Amino acid sequence: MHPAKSVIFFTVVSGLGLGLYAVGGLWWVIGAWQPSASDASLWLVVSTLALVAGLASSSFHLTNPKNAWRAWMRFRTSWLSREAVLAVVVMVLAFLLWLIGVDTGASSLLAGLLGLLALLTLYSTGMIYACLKTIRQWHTPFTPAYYLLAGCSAGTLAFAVMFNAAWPMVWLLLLAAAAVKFAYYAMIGKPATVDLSNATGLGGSVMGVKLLETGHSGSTFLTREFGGRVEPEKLKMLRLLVFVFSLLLPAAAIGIGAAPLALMLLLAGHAVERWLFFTEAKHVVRLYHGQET
Amino acid sequence: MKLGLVIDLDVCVGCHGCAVSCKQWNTSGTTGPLTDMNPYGPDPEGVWFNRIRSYEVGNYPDNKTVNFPMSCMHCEDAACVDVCPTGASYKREEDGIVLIDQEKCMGCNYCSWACPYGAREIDRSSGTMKKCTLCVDRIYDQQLPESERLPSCVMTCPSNARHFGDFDDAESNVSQLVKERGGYQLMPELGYAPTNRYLPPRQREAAPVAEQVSGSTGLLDKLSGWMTKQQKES
Repeated sequence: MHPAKSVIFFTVVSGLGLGLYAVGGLWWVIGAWQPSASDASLWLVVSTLALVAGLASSSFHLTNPKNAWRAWMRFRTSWLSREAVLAVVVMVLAFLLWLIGVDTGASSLLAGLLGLLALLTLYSTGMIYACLKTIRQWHTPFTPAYYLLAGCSAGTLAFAVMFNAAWPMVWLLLLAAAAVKFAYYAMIGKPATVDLSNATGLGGSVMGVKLLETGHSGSTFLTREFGGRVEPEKLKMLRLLVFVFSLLLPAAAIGIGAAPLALMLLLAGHAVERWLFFTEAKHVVRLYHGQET
Repeated sequence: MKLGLVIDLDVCVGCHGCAVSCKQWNTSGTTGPLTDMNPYGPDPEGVWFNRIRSYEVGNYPDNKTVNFPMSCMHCEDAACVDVCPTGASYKREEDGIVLIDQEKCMGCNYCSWACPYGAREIDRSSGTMKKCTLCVDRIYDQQLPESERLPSCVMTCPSNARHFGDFDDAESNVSQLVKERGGYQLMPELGYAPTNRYLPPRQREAAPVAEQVSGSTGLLDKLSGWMTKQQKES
């Protein structure tokens, strides 16, 4: 799949914002964090800025953005629509929480609800990709699991940087995210179960089916969107970078007391991971062009 | 009604006439234009609702070229419609045709990711997604003689490889063809229940060819001969 830069930036940065909402809200409702009014405002403002920056960026990959407001219309069937609706609900709750302040009895409950809905939004982002049966590298529970873990690890690290809290959770999430990504790479390495013979229904011959010509002389929407290919050596190196930037270097930075640097490194790691997530996803339509899936 | 196409892979000659005719009709039709980018440059590119690829099945002399036109299958369980966040993509209750409301599409490409058949293409000029309409603006047009109320591709096909009809009617031309010739769906395992069917190429004896000059008895030739024999027997 063609990796759109705006979508990479969107998922990484909005993931950070949603993860930050989630950890603050949940820590607050279970009583592990009792924020002052200024702490709560800082938490809400940073989370919201990240989410808004992400959502704004996501509109850059639309070719007809004047209709973007319609993305809220199909909540019943579309994960993309669900993500869009939930993101707005989360921001509305954040605004309400900011209005009522930290002193009311409802504050912590509202914060907890905000945290849960932020998690649900992250899950929806993952499901946008995981629900597609046409792309085997996405159609797996690893996809929403990683979106949740990546967003929460970035959000929790940001939370720890701002309020010096939740450090054990940072380590746990960093390790869990790396473990899930490792298992994911092992899973997508398995060979595909469909080939050109199945896809065309012309199988049954021992000799198989070969592509003679694609029928177009230039590039097409299909070749640009689905037809990319990257050298396996490059992919291998980038996968290594994912683990270096989303686990080893942040761990080292936290170790030497440079936690803000750790967050920058982690976000860079997530950007590389997201680029690979798109680049390594091979849509079934590629089969008809004689390419692997 | 369940309207769709039957494509006869046995007789399609790969002339691309259906694709050209489709482009001509639809560029001024309800979802037109089908914009071409850089049409006279070195790398022309444009929107097509129908694309034809060519494959070779088997090895010479037991081989066959199969030309393979693909367009929207008007799936019964259309994932492209389910994933569309705006409601631009929809499937008509009355005849099962899948369409895109150009006024609502925001150009997110998501539906094209859900379609396994490559039936949807973005028009970079309008910014909206476009696809086969099954010539919804021809097939119901009372101004046209009844014999011409067919999709443009079906009207044009010089080898009669394309058929249009109602799959809900067991007596229709398309239902009968599917029954007689073993018409099949593409990638049914994905569960989208595509309406369009493909008629498989007929099995024929290989055309007689001159005997090969002796001397080609290498291991590869033996293996190839053995595999050809197996294929004939299977």
